[in-house]
Amino acid sequence: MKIIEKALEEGRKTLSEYESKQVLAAYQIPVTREVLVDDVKDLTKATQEIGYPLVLKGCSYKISHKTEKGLIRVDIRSDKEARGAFEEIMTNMDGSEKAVLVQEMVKGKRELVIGLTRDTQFGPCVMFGLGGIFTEILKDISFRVAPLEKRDALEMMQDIKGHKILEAVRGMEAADLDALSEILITVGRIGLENERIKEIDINPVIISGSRPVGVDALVVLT
Amino acid sequence: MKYFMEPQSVAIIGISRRSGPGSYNLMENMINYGYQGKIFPINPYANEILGIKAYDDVKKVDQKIDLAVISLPRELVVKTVTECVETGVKAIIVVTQGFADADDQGKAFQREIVALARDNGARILGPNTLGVVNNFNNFTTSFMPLMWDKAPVGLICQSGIFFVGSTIFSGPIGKGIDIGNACDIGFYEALEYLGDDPDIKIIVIHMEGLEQAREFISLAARYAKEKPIIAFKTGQSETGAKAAASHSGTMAGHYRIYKASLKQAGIHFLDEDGQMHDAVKTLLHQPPMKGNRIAVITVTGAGGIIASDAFNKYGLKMASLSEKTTSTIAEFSPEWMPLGNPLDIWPAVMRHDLRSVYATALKAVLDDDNVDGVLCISIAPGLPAFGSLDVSESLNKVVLREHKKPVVAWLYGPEVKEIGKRFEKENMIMVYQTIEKAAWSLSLLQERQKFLERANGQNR
Repeated sequence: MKIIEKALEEGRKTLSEYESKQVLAAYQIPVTREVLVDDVKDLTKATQEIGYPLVLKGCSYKISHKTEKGLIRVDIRSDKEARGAFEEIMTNMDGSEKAVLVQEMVKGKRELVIGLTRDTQFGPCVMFGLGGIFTEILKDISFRVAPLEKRDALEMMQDIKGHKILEAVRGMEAADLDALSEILITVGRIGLENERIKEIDINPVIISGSRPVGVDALVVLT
Repeated sequence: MKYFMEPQSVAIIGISRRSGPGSYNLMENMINYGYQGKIFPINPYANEILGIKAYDDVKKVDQKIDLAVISLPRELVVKTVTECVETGVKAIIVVTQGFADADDQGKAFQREIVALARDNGARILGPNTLGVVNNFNNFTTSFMPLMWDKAPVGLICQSGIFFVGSTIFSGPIGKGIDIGNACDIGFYEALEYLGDDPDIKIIVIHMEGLEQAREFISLAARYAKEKPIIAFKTGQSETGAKAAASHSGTMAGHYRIYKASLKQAGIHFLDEDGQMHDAVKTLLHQPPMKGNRIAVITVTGAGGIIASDAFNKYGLKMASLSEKTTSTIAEFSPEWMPLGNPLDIWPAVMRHDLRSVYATALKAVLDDDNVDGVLCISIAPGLPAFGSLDVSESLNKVVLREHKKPVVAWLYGPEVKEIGKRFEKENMIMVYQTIEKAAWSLSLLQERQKFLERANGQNR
């Protein structure tokens, strides 16, 4: 893929969130609607296109832990708030290649992680588990070797301890298992078709209503 | 692999003149094991060993050598492998340790012998191995004495302990391949041999690390349709992984990924060494289990509750018995006895013989469409005084008529070992040390069923 080739030419080992999601979107994986803005003049056009409420994030291939660095502002509801957040994020970022991602705010309480890791023995392996802060804390994850069949995808979701989170719980709709399976299968395919991709992290994948959406993503190259 | 497992002639290189207990004489062990082919001992300091003509080196042997077994100090191995391939030997076992399992020099030696083999169309098993055992033609290269048994069990391992300690781990093995450092012959080739072997009905694998992993799992997926494959992967923790790296020189990959991918291929993945024995006897002798509904026939209420807890842990559940089943038992039982599952038949014994009540109950639950598998909890009574409480023969008569659903048992009392043997006499009712292990074994049979459904439902 072009994005990957370009990054490799520049000697980079990671793609920015924006680039990562373009890779995913090229494979029809549902991700947040978003616009990359590097000049405050273009901000209004972007906020109008995405629509409030929205999220602003600092975006560069150099950043991976945005929360710790104060580079995320959520639930922005007006032009004024957007402008303030934009200026602040730009100031907080160092380096020259900096921009802000104007992103739809996806609502949903359930956060999952879907990922890919290239194992030295087994090749591309797909990961599924609880997302957000729980990924690191609970390590409730399962793996399958790519390529995945639908059955593998469904089984690996059942494999995690917290699989009940996918059911209709506490007034929330059941997660769309077909859509989730499709993402898992596709992530495996990306790994098989792109030798230079070492890892993918889509975290969180938020279940919005019943629909999974990739809200943050990181692609690591090799 | 045929040259390794069924050689017509073997050259033993680096054979000691000493024999008897404590000499670890590989050739003596091979002869005692009943090997019928030709043996060429290679030792420049001996004219004959154990009455067989010895040769100075392998090049002096004027007959065809199917297999060469090298047990020399590692410094001499490269030279010896060179001589073997120059003589046209196609199969070589390197018993010696100290290659990729050791230092950089050892790794370099290993690379050299692999290159020699590749260039000359020969194959190497090891280094760092006991070699092979084939009980179907009384052949072994092990320098440690082994138990002889024509069991339909094939073993692939990376450590000799699974040969020598087979009674503890897998139970009797019919054919075994210790791939050691797996410098050339690896899991793939070993699995291919045992997978195609009609003598072998079940394959047990001890794995430290795996090369050519993707090729291996697609091969395993193919064989797992025909015979159960069980794997025990060591090196789970970081310390364990380090031990594996220094032991066999292969990198121990990510444990979770191993587990996921082996299961994906339809391999039963064990979590601990103690499960190997139960897994083998269960998968070898019991039919796959169609669902997770278990009937428990018990002579103790408490046992039924323990079973219920264990089922919960392994995704099994108590079957709801049909009315036909309960009414069959009701005929024997006092009217105050509530009948359900677990089916407590003890009250019925007040009036009837335990053996006939138990057999009737077993037949009834096996005929019940709501039941996928059966757990029998019974007494192993003091013999011969309480022989009338030994239900083994009566139950075996029932399963001998039809054995489509798994029947497992747990026994308590003074004669667990003897009665257990009687239960297992026909290889149709398997006995376990604990109720929990019995439940786990049933879950394994359900896993087998799922693997088969999956394999037949789609072609991977």
